[in-house]
Amino acid sequence: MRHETERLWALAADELPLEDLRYVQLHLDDCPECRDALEAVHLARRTLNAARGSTPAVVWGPTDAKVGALVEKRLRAVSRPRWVPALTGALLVAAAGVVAVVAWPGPGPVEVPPTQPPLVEVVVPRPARVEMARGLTRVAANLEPVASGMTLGTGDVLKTGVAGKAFVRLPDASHLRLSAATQVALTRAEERDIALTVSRGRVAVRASHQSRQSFVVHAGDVVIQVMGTIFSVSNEPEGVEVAVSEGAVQVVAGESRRLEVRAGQRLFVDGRTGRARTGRLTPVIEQELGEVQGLAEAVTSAEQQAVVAAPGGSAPGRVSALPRLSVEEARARVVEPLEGATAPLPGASPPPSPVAAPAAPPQGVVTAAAPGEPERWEGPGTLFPSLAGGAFRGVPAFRDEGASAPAPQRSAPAPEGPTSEEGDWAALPKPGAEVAGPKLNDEHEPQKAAPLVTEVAPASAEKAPSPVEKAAAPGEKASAQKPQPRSLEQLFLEKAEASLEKGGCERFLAGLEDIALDGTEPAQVARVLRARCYETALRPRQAMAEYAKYLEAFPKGRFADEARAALGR
Amino acid sequence: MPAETVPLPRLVPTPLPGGQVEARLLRLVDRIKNDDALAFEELYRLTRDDVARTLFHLTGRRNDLDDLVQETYVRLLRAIPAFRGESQFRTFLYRVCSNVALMHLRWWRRRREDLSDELPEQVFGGVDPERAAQQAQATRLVHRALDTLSAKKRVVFVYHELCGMGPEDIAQAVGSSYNTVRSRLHSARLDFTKAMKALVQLEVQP
Repeated sequence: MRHETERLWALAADELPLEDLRYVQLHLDDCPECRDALEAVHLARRTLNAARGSTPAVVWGPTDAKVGALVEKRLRAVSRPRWVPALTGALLVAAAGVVAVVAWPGPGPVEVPPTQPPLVEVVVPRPARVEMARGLTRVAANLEPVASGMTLGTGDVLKTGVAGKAFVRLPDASHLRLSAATQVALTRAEERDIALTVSRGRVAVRASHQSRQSFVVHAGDVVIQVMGTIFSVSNEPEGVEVAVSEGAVQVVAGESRRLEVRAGQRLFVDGRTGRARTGRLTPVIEQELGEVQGLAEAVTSAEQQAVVAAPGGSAPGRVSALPRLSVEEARARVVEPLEGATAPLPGASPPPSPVAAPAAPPQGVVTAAAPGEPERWEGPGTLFPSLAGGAFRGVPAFRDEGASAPAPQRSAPAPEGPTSEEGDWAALPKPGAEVAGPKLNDEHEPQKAAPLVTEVAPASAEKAPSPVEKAAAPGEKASAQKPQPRSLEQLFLEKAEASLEKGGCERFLAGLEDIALDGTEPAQVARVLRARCYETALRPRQAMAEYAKYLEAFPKGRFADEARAALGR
Repeated sequence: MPAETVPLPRLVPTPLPGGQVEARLLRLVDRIKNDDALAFEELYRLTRDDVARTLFHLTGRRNDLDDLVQETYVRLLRAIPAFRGESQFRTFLYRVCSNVALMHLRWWRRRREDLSDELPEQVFGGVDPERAAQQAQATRLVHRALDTLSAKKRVVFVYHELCGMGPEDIAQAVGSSYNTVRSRLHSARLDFTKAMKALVQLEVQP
């Protein structure tokens, strides 16, 4: 029976040699069963032929973005050593500038004198600029690669590749994040008038609070009118999606429909039917919005520090590069320490240390020199010098972890999925980075997490510096009476740890990964914070993978016990 | 029919690929080896439809297809440094596909509760609705019949009958010998024919 079927298939597929063909045909004439079998084979082949051309409906937009993000991550990991030294240098340079501002003794919070001329008057418009770029091109006669620091203008059309991603600062100090496989046109990029057209892909926007004529985003037939807010717009063949994490936007869909999308809402307008549906923000969107917010805050913080640090708000050589600040923002610039973490000791007068770690808080912290004290600001561009270079640790990093970090992992190697391929098939080179952690023990209770990042409380002579502080200034005999200038990494780690309780730790995952890959002391903390964040988010598989990575990198690290306990070892 | 007296039929080899396409893919591979992300993007655009269709037939599932495509390209990126041009790039790509699909099939077959998942939706561009409906019905039947095959037989059968690969290339793609492939293919044909006949009878019955 088996060989009959084989030859019948071969007959139907024209695979039979001529001599066999004659033999089979003769046999078929005398064998009704074989004719029935041949009919079954023909039926099977007809069905196969009909099915051969069917193509599954894949929503390529999100898949493109996921693949792009993973490719970017992979290539970034490969090329990391090339820019690590540059980043280290940039951080050290940043230290000098920031220490001058943060560590200088002052009487505490200082309000900007109301008599000070409003900064609005001294601001010079600044063109749109690419803050970070990877796989970014400008669509012209040919695709021109766009690098970080390049200025843009009205009419420029930007396109990111499948592995691309970019951050752009707009003339009104708003910030734009382009996801992979995105094309967006700066239809109008003026100081008081912004219009963007999203042809495909997704952009996340952190609109500034500047007064302006209009800020609109066009995506297909949908128009989004913006006030100060944080939102994203995606334009895919299936429809347009608008998601808001802060504030609200007005969406005009169709001829007369005007909808308001508020914080935490997501609106999807079907591209074919025009039907609108609402939903909640997805982790991927939250991640992207968090990234653009983090970057915007970091840049704005750096710029504002420059303004406040300069007497009368005019740092030489810096003013022309400042964003335009509103009167309200100028008045609101009450200088306060960051959640009790940056308050200098009363009476302490630490001199600025040339070896101190960089300390520019990524969250809009505004500090000022004490009245009457000499200005410690060292000049323009030293707070975040790495921004223009395209790398900045601490700020939500220049990577897209939408798929790997906060997004639900539904890929084949699911929690119950196989962890290895069968040996019969020749295995391709196995990734070294993949960690097959042990299966989740559902009854496993994560250990009570010990605080990883110790807040720099008003220092006392008795209090020993935290491990993170030690890591920030190894070998330096820190005076217990002097506040330790904290690095960007410390600030970021503190924020990340705080977010474990407050919620929203997902937005720190990318930055933590960035720090964790360096293999330094803060990398231990970063890796464990990632694991705890995943535990908090009830994603144990990812948490175990993080713990496994930790043990791989730091088998004798100070969190090794916690990691082993989590992994059940 | 005295089967022993007749040798096993010869199988149709893989049609030769378009030289330009293959050369273009190989150039892209060279660039990817130098960490050129844009080259990978181009390769992705060139091959993603084929990969999606192949994975669709290999696994018969739509719900996880985007994840499978994603997994395939991640593995491909890792594997490309080991590609030395000893086979066609398409064969190399199918090898990655088969590894991903096999892993998924074995995992999924341990989760039979997922059987209630909806059958995939298909896109039938440029065909009339009647033909599209026939195609959808045929695809549904084929995938149900393929579900009766073992994972290895299914891969070999799909590569030969739906992807048009010859046994030599399939052997490279799945890392087995020519004779193993041929044996699996013939066995799969037998099982598939049986399953299809039974399915059609079920469809005919009220």
